[in-house]
Amino acid sequence: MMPTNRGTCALACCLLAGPVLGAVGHGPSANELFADAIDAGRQRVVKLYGATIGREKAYGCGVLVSADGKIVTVLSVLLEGRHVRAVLWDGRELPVRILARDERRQLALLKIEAGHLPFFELTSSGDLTPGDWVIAATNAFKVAEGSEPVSVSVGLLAGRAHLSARFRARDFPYDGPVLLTDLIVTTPGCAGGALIDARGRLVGVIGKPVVGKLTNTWVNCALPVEEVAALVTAGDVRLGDAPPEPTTRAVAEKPADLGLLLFDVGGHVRPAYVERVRPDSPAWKAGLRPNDLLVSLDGQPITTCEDFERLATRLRAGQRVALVVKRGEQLQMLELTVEPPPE
Amino acid sequence: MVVRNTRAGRLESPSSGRMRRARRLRSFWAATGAIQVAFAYGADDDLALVRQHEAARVETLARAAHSVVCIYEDRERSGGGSGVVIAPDGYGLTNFHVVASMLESRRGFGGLPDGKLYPLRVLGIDPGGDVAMFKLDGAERFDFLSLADSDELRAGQWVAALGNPFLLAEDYTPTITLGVVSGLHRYQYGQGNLLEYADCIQVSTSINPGNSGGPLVDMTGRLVGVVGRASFEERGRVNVGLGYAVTTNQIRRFLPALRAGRLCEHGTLGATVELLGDELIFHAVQSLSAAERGGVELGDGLVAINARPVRTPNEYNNVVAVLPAEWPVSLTVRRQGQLRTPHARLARLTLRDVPLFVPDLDVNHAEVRRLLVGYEQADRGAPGRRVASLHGQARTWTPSVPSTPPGGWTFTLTAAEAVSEGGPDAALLTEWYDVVWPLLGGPEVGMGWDARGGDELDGRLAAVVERRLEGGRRVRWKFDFESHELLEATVGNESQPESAVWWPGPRRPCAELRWPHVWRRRTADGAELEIRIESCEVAFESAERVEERAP
Amino acid sequence: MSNLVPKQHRLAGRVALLVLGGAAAAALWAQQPASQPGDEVIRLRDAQQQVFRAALRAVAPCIVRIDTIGGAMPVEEMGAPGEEPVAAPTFRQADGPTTGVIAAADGYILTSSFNFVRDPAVITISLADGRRFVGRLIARDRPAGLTLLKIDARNLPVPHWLPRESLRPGQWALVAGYGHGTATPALSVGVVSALDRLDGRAVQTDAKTSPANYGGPVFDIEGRVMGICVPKAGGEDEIAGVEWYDSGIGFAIHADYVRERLPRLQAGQELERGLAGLRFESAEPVVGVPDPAVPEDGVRIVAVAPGPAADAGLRPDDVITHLNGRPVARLRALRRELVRAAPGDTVQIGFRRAGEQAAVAVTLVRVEELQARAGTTTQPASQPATPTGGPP
Repeated sequence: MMPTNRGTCALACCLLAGPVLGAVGHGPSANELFADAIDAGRQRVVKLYGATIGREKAYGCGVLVSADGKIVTVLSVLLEGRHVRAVLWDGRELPVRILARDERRQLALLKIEAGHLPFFELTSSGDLTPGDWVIAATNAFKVAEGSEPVSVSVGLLAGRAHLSARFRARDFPYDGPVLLTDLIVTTPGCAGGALIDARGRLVGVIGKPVVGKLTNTWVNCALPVEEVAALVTAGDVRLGDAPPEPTTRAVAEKPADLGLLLFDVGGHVRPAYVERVRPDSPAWKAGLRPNDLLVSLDGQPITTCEDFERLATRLRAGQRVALVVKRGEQLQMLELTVEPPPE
Repeated sequence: MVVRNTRAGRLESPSSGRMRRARRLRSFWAATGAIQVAFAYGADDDLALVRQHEAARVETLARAAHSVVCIYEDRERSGGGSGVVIAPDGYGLTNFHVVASMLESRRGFGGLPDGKLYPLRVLGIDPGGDVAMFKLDGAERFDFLSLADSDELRAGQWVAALGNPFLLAEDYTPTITLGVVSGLHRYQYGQGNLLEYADCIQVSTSINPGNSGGPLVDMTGRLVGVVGRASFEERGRVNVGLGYAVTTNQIRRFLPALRAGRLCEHGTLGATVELLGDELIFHAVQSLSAAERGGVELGDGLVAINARPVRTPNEYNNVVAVLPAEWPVSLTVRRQGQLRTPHARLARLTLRDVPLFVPDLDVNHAEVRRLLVGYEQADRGAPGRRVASLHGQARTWTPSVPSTPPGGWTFTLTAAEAVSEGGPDAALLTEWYDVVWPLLGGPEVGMGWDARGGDELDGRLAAVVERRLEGGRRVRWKFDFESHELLEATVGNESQPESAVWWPGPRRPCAELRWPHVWRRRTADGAELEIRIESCEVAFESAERVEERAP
Repeated sequence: MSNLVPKQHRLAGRVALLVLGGAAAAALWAQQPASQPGDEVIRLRDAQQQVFRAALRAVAPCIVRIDTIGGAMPVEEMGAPGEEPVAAPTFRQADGPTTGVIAAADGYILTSSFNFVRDPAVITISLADGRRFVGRLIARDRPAGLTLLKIDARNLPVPHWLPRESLRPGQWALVAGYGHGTATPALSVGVVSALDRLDGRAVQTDAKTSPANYGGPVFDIEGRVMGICVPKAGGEDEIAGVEWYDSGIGFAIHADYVRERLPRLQAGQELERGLAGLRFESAEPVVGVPDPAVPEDGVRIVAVAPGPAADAGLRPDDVITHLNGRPVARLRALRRELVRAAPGDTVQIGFRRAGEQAAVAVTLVRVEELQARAGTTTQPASQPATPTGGPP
């Protein structure tokens, strides 16, 4: 028997409404929206000082990831100095040892000799969604010195993408997933800082200041904490104090032969028009024909022949990919199966 | 599936019907008191909560925007910055560097969001702290912001900057940018000692050229700082998320001097500190410096300044560099294990490249008059006749200094015996008369008068007015800057300007006598006495004069 | 329902509910942890996150991703070190995806002209539901910096446009775009910084706007669209203002302005600034300081170039007081009216000369026509010497 009588409902609702409507004000509580995250960030981000060459800065920051003093930061010239030092939140200055370098992720794992330090657990950024608050704790422009608290700012997780960028006019080696934020974290001193969610958990380590190839603008991003965890558990990284020899890229297998020849018009912009398709090749079986314009592969846009070549080298035998082509004034969706190369 | 907004504000989704039912169910259970309600809010409640918070901010900022000024050098509005009105008569704050080009003419223009352009006058400047004061004319009353206590700020709290970046405000409505406090007590190098931001607020609100001089407000709409700088790097002069504002607590100490149209100077102790281990030690104390005169010795360990703990040389600079010249500071130092509290008055920090700035005497005297009138109103209600009648016989005393200015006022006083030995003599009463007569609006404010700036008495901000008399005598009055109450007055001469201090004693209720009739006096050697005014008669010879003096 | 319960029981029932309701309320109050700001704070923070996400979900169906292929590259940057720069360094546009907004259900898409500087050969548009279409460029609105495209589709979801009157400085403003190659539009949040910027064409926001979201919507916490994001409505130069990307200075062409112009664009009309050949006094009157050269109730003409205004009989020192019947007391009001007019539009100009009021009709022309009549060679319209609608 539910009370459908409106008056009773209204009364009950009024009784409920009081505590609810009185809840939010602008008193001190409204100023504490990000207090947990800020406290967490300030104690677990360290300021780093080291060497400098040219335009590179001799300062930066890093994130504490273990109670005994492991620090994650970005690979940079700063670390090449002989006296790299870390300054903790309480002003303690300690020398730094380099444990590992990750060329692909452009991260470094450092160590200071200290104990019982506050640190970030390396969990997952999985439940962070675009639209969620994020807090950046960094040493931007080295405004904070000694025991002065690091700088904090508040913004959103803007989205997730795979990074395709340049660092000082050269291709940036990391092309994996990144967290995009609408905070400006590409200023000197930000890289290596913490990206924290509203509850104070580390969701990413702020990356180096790179220029995105898709936009030609500075990309404000952070490596998701899952990627950082991979480094810390020393999966695919060389350990040791001495800088390793420059890592060579894993030699790619021979690119799969799709039976496709693109029309190379030369010049700066070379749309990927199909010139020839070999009969019975995977391209032919997928339905590709001469004069088709390749538009995208598995959702990745193809604006130039180079785009296609880059995507094609990643294809493996047996892989099935969705190809979108423009034929005449229509778009066609095709499916292409990569066959193993003939022995 | 594609979903379209079907009515304003609501998304008609399959779940909303479910939510309505859920709400009815909840009311039922609450009404029967059966189950504690878990506040399981649905999407509608989230939106309502966010809307409520948003609406409050919109309203706060709408009100604050009325006080934001778009400052221009000329009527063509070719260049400028921002400012904020802080008093209803049109006094406002901006950065020194915004008005630096207007120093010769002292004239500029201020656009308000009502769409009008008002004449603007530059009053006092503080190049060291990058602050300046202006006054708008052309209206009876202006909307203004009140100053908050900037020490209450916390990192991470929302703040908004209002101003005119890139001079985009064609209609003088300010650009509002929102961010958080990124850091407090930050240091930004200046040029020499100019434009040094020694203890500023770092913010993430977007700050661009043109924002300078504009207000930084908290979410109650009060002023917490004046925005003046930002960090720019590879992208040129475009915001990258770091802006800096001078705190209201720093500016407040300079308000009396700024209103008086003065060129403000900052203070120095004349001593530097260094970290030795954990302790901050005075490792250089200049001879005859403020520190030395205050009793600081080489090797003392600095613990606190004005009760604020100081742990690093940066913090030391933060605290001292923002104080005005001649400001009183109480230091806490450790000497051979003992804590001591020397007191000092800061010396002047000389600025190189100080702009040529001749203080405007009219502005200064206008401020003197404002403080005196304010005193009268604070202490006496409306000026006019005051007659007292109390018992007691007393000697009649007429001041030996001619007291009848053109216009014909007389002033007679009968005073009782002083409490201490010796009794009041003519010299003493003359001194007292010099202190009190101007408070009654006796003498004209003109040559010899000077609004000197600010001071701090018992933690209260005071405005100091000085009058130089014949024979090198000088009298100073220190009024509470907010309430205009007279805190104390000093009498002295050239070499010792404040050799005797007078202050009003506790008042006893008396229906007719509304200004203090007990005065206390203390000299440098500690001698104190009290004068009790038993009866006082102020007779105005000219009735017309009385009319003139009514507010 | 109430008939099923006898009357006295109903009364008792109501009393019981009242009493129990009171008890429950008391219990609730008692259980409320005494002033725990933590809970309220978490509540608001979480609610904001939910609302931002929901707003994006609400508007995402109306946001499209634009991929282009081919087209002329913009002016190159400086040559190799040591060489003289071949041209002034400019923003080098990238090849990545851009963003647009569905403007009409029958397949019209609006985007920022920034995304079409290169005049690409091939345009493909992807909708939020994954469908892809070939796009055609229909027309450009140069004063707004908008470009209209068309795809062959029907019944597309259109945004809920917000009228300018409902906007408030300080309210949340979100912007979203595909430029970083994300699967769903990447989001940024800020506030409405000001209304009526850029001669009243744009709302200003401090949400981060950049090539990653130019052409996308600026919307409120309910997903209703305030405007379309542009670098800066310059008109002549589509990429002017891009140097302010991600700076917290961002603009969106008002929904009102967009809707007003859309029919002409749909008809294929290229929209440009309509000019009369007038230059105006740029000084503003100052309160309490009257100046006959700077009137309080109108805008003084400083110069009249050969053109429609001259033909209509307007002369220097005439004071324009009305435009199309509406009073224009200040230059900014005049400019706001004029910026909506296109070549070929006729405007009614009310003016005062020697104390007498009069009115003329002036038919506006394109900047090229003014230049031809002045006998000058082509100049960029941003130079102050060229008669424009007012100071840049």
